[in-house]
Amino acid sequence: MRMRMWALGLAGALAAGAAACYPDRVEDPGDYDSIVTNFDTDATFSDITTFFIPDSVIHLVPSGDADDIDRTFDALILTKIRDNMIARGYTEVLDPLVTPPDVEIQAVVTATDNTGYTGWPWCTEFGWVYPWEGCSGWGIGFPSGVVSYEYAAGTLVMQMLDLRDVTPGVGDFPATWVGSLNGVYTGGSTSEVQARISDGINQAFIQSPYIEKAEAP
Amino acid sequence: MTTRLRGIPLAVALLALASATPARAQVLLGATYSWSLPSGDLESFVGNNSWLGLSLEGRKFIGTHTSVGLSLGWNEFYERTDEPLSVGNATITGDQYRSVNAFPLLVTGHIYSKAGETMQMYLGLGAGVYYIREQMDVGTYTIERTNWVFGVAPEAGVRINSRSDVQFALFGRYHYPVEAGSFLPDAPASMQYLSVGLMVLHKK
Repeated sequence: MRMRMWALGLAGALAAGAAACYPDRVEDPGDYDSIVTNFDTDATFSDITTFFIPDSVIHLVPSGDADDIDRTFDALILTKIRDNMIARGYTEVLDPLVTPPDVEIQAVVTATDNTGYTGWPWCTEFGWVYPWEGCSGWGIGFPSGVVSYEYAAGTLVMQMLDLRDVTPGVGDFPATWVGSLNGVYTGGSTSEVQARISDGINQAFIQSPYIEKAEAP
Repeated sequence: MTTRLRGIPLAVALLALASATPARAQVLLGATYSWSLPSGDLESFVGNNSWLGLSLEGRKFIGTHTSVGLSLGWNEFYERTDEPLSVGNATITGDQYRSVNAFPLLVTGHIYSKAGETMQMYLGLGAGVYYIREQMDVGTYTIERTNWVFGVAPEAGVRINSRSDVQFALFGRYHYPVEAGSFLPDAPASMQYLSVGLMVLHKK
C-alpha cells in the first residue's frame, strides 16, 4: 500500500512537470513582433549597382479570396525600402524596360496564416511583377536556412531578386535576401502600424550590414 | 545531433561495482524537486532561473558509507526575450520564446559521513549523458537543436535519517555537460546549471 502511494506521488509529480513543459509559451504567432532576415551566402551585394522597386505592394491572397488588405501603408513601405537602399549606396532605376536593374525588391503582404509562402505560384499569380517576362514557368529560388514556409497574416516580406544572371524563361529568379516583419499589420492604430513598419524595415536593413555597395576605388 | 558517449566505460564500471554488493544491501529509491540556476553557455541562451526540475533517484549501499546508483532527471529553463540572435545566414530580432530541456541520465556514487547520526553529510559524483533539447520560437519560426553530450555532476547534500522508511535529503548538484554538440547559434556549448532541491527517499 505504501509503495502504491509512493508511485502515485511520483506519477503526480511527473505529470505536473510534463504539463508545465512549455510555460509562458505563446501559441499565437501574432503575439510575436519579430524581424527575420536571411540571405544567400553565395550572393554578392557589394557589386550591385542598381535596383528597381515595383510601384505596388504585392498582396498574397489565396485564389478566390477577396483582397481586403489595407493599402494605406503601401507608399510608406516602398519609400522606406527605397530610402534604405539609396542609403546603402545603390541607385534606383525608375523604368526597368529602359535600364535593366541589377536587382528587384518586391514587397509582399500576406493575407492569411499558413500561406505556403515559398511554394506560392509566383509566376501564374503575379507574372506582372517581372515586367520583362510573362509567365514562362519561372519561380523564385529562396535562400536555404531560415525561410519560413508559413507566415502569419499581416506579415510584410521583402525579397530581393538578383536579375543579373537570369535568362528569361529558364530557371528561377534567385532571392538573395529576404526580410520579414512578422504580423506587422495586425493590431494597433494606424500611427502605431506605421511606426512598426517604419522601424521594422529600418531594423531589417540594420541587421543586414552586408547589403552595402562597395565604394568606388 | 551529436553523440558523446565517453561516459559509458565509467557507467559500466560503477554498475559492475553495484552488482557485486551484498544481497541485503540497503536500497534508497526516491525523487527530487529542485530549483536551478543556469550558468555557462546555458545562461547566455536562457538567463532565467527555473523551478522546473525533477529527477528519479536510486541508490544502493555497497558499504556503510558508500552507495552507487542511478539518477534520471529533467530540468527546463525558459524565457521570453528580444535579444537578437544569428542562426546560420539568418538574423532574428523581436520577441522570442527560448527554452532548454535537459535530461541527465547519470550513474552516481556517494560517500556519507558517520552512519547512525540523524543528519548525514554526503558528497557524490554523477557521470553520464545529457540529452539537451534547445528551442527558439519567433514569429512562425521554430528553431530546434537536440544534442547528446557527456557530462558530470558533483553533488553535496545532507541526508536526514528517521525511523520511518521515508527519508529526506537536501542537496546541491552542479550539472556540467562538456562543451560539445551543436547548439544555437550553431556552435558547441556547455549547458551548465546548479540545482538545489529536496529529495524524498524510500528506504527498502
